[in-house]
Amino acid sequence: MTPLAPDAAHAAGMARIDAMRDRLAQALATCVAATGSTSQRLTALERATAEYAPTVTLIGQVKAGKTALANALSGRPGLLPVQVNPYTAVVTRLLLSPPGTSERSEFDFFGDADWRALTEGGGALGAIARRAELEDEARELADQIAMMRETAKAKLGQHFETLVGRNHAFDTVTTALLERYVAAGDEEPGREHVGRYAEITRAARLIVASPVVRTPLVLCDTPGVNDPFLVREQVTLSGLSHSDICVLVLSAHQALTTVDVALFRLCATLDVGRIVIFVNRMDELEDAAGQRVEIERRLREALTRHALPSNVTILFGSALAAQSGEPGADRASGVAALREHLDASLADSTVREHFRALALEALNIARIELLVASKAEAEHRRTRPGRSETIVALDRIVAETERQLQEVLKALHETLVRRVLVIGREIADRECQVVAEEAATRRVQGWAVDTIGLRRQLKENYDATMAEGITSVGAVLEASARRIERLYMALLPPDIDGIALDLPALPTPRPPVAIARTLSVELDASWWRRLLMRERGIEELQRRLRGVLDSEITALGEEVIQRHFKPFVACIGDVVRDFLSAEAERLIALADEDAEAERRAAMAALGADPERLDALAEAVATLEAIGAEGAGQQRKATAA
Amino acid sequence: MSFDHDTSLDANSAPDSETGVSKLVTTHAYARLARFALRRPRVAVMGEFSAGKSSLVNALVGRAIWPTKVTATHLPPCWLRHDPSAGSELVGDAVAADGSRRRLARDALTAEGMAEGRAIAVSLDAPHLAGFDLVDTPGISDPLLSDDLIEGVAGQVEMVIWCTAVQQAWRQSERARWRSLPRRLRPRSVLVLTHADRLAPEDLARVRRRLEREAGDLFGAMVEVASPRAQAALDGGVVVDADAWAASGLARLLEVVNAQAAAVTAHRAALLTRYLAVEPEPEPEPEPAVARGPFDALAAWNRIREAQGPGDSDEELRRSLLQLAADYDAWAAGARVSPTGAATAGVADTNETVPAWRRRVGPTDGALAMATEHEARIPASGVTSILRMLGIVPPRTETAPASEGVDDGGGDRRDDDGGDRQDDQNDQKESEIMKDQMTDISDLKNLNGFLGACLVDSDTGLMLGSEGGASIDLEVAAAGNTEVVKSKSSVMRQLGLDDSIEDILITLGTQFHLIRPLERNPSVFMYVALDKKQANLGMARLQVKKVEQQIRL
Repeated sequence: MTPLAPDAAHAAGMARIDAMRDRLAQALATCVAATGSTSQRLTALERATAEYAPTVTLIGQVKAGKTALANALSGRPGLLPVQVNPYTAVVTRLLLSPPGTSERSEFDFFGDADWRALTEGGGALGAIARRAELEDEARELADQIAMMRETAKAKLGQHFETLVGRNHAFDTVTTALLERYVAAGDEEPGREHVGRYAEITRAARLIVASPVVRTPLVLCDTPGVNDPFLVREQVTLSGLSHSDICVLVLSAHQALTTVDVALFRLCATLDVGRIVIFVNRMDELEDAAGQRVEIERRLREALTRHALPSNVTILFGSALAAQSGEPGADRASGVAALREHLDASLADSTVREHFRALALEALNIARIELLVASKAEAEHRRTRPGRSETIVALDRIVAETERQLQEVLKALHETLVRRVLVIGREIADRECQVVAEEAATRRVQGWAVDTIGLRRQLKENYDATMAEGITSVGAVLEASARRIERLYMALLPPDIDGIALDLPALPTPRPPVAIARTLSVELDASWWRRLLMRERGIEELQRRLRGVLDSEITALGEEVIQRHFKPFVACIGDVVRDFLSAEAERLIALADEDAEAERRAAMAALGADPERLDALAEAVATLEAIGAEGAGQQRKATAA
Repeated sequence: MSFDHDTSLDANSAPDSETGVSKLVTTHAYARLARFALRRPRVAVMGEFSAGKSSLVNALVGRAIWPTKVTATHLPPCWLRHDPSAGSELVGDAVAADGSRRRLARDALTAEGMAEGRAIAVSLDAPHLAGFDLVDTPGISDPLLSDDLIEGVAGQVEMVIWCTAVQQAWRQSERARWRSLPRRLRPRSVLVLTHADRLAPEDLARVRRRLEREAGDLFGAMVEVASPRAQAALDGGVVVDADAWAASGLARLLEVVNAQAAAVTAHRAALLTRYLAVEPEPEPEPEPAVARGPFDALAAWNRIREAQGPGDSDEELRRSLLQLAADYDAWAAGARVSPTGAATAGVADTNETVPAWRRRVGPTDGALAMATEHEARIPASGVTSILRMLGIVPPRTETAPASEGVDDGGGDRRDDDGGDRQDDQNDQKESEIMKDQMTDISDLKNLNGFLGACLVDSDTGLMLGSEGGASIDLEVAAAGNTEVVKSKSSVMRQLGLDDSIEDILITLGTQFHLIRPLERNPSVFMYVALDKKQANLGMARLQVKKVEQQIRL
């Protein structure tokens, strides 16, 4: 099949991201050139700008056509292997790069700990099954895992586990190669090589030259959920929180089943702007145009009924038709429209956010350079702190900030744990109450634990806690920014009225997708009914229910803390430390008496060169503009 | 607290089955039992929404009674019953939750009109339904609809036609739902792959293979169906194109279902022979509210459950029904666990696993005769099935393995656990060994003219590490060169050379291939391909040796 030519309209969409990137890169380059700065921070910012690639994740049920859609979106028809049975066994990240990029594929095998957790305990699902004492499910998982190991052994020999924790890397990306690692097996004679490593491969990372992208983009293809092979589902959900946009792929034959609703709910922990529904396989319908209206009406009705955002973007199309190679197929198949939507919403959300954070950081550096250069002729301050005094002062600021930060984060952790426990108790009380009432009226048939309410409560609490945390960290940052400004004032020429440092953009907390993972109480709808038949009395039932809910919510809270809170805290720490070290680098340079004369000369030269000064001023203005875009909540620190 | 049909049955094992004594019942009760035994078996059509259920039902009844849509069709369960006198008319009753019926006006027999009742009973002239009644159910997995209804239906039918669309066949949501329904249904039920005409034959074969693997033990049979082809073969409900009819899969489906239905009937008839009517003077009581369909029975059930003191006749009816069903399940369980071949009724007197009452049932008991008198015309292929069901012909091995019946035994599981622990220990040992390993060969990448390299276990051909390989299929090279190393080693043995291979150099027109078994572990070798123009062979051999030092296995 022939690769697609880039669609003009799509190119326009991508151009926005490109333009944003170019604008920032240019401003950064001007700063570097104008100041002759050797600041490592600026160089790092330049690199981060050039390499940034937003992530689009495709999720959906088995056979919805996610892999075919990935092939269509990447403009490389038939690259990822597809088949009529569930085939994608491994999360595949394609870094789509402009044509001419050298391709590479890396296949990571399961790590030692992961592999053991999976093969011995059945992974996360196994843990759930055990917590809820779902013996059937636990046994079934154990059987499937035993089978998986047997299959791996048959394909790879006795010592296949020596591959655990390693990876295979190639300087090429071909379908034949991918078949061995990411495709589930094929029993047909002559195709035994297919899926040879699938059982032990955890993730595939590919660098793919795509004829349709101008700016790097990561496309993440996932194994389908609702696969009877339970183990496969576990790998899918883990990567979701690092996605900037989720495409929920549905099959037109059967749009939106209960499983899709559950998936949507999982995505709904992301902002609604970050989800798009793509109804695939429209080409297989007899009356696509007519049924499209009906499907959309029903989708929105079902979303409303389940209290999910029904204003989500819904697009229709066919990944298969897009790959036909006929001119205009991309547009006619609806894939071009999806691509445009993705580019536009990426440009409006995460890409802008990301570039804004980079701009703010560069701004603090550039602004002071500009200030110093424009006042280079001014009289030198007679008494100013020396290098070692500055370092001592800086040390104090860093130590104090670190102390305050740790205090704030510790309090945050405690708040979060306390809230989870309170929620757990409330929900257990509530559900026990409900069970008592239902049992009294014998209406148990339709009863199930209110997991939607549970999730909503957990999510709201997590969001509220994180918002409080960001406010507190902001206050800590502001205090230390003021002290740093005072240091600057002491070092800079006396006729500078005041300087204002921009606080770094604090990271937005990643949505806590762990909350959305399957809970034991949802694993089997009829489980509670069976339990209700079996248990002796209502007290016994309530005791059991409380036990399961307690352990489940505690486990969930622990997971949220491990998978979301801790990484977030680490990320905040990094931002604060990066901010401090960038300022420290500059302050120490300013205070260095030996370099002072040289620096003053350079600055004077810059100050005397109106063209360079203008260029720098312009770059600062650009950075300010980028930093102000969509900011709003970020507060500015002012000099005392 | 028994509001689940099956739970009640489990608790109610047939008390007299061991003694083999016939039960004495009133003639009135006997008449009721006979009616129950001789009624048409019921077959439910189930599956996810948009799985092709409506199209299949339309093809089975020979006309388009249901609308077919991509989105879900929202109808209550519909009990379709063949009635030759119905002519071209559809006669429908809406059945309310309390069991009361209301005749639906002819123009109300549309999707909208029928949505009002809790269930719909429809009589229509559908010759293909001569041997069984069809219960159409709403699709599961519909977010706009609760799927509790199918539980009630499952409790009232003898078998299920489960529809799964080939394009998205057999997902976990279907499997979980099917497994939550009564186990007794499995050996008699059919998994139907709908939309079979939408896939190419080789793709269809692939789906079939997977389903045999993943669902084979949950169904008695699997049939592929293409409903549009079936519609094309029909004209006014009559098959006019036999070839197309056969190609649609409908012929095979009907054959399977009819055989199973006949078997159910024959078995029930056999059970009936255990009862004797004694009371010479039956009370001329009025016709009781006898169950006439699954929903009437369900309603009766509800009444019993809700009323504080159930009426005697209800209670009796309930007991009779339970008894029959329990006997049946006991018989079915007996058939399942009995060893293949040993279950022949006539000679199984010494076999402890066969319930005593079953030994009395032989061909001479008239069961077959009764069965053939039944309104269901049993197809020829059904006779074998009947004999099989009666244990006269050994059951096919396709019936579930012996373990299924004794699934809950605790002893087996403990043994499993012991095995797991053993495995755990082995795993631990293995991973401890693994920690000391190091198979990084990325340094080779810096060689002049480097094309690709890999580390291979020559016992299995397994690639332990790889690097590069854009122009070479390292996987194939790894497997192929395993043979090279093996044959060289065997040559050396034959020559009686007590030596080891240091390296093997193969020079091609444009490439060098270097194979180097590890000094410390000769069963593992390194394989390096180099471009002949750029490579320096001496340096390369040195470098390969250096990398070897870093490898630990």
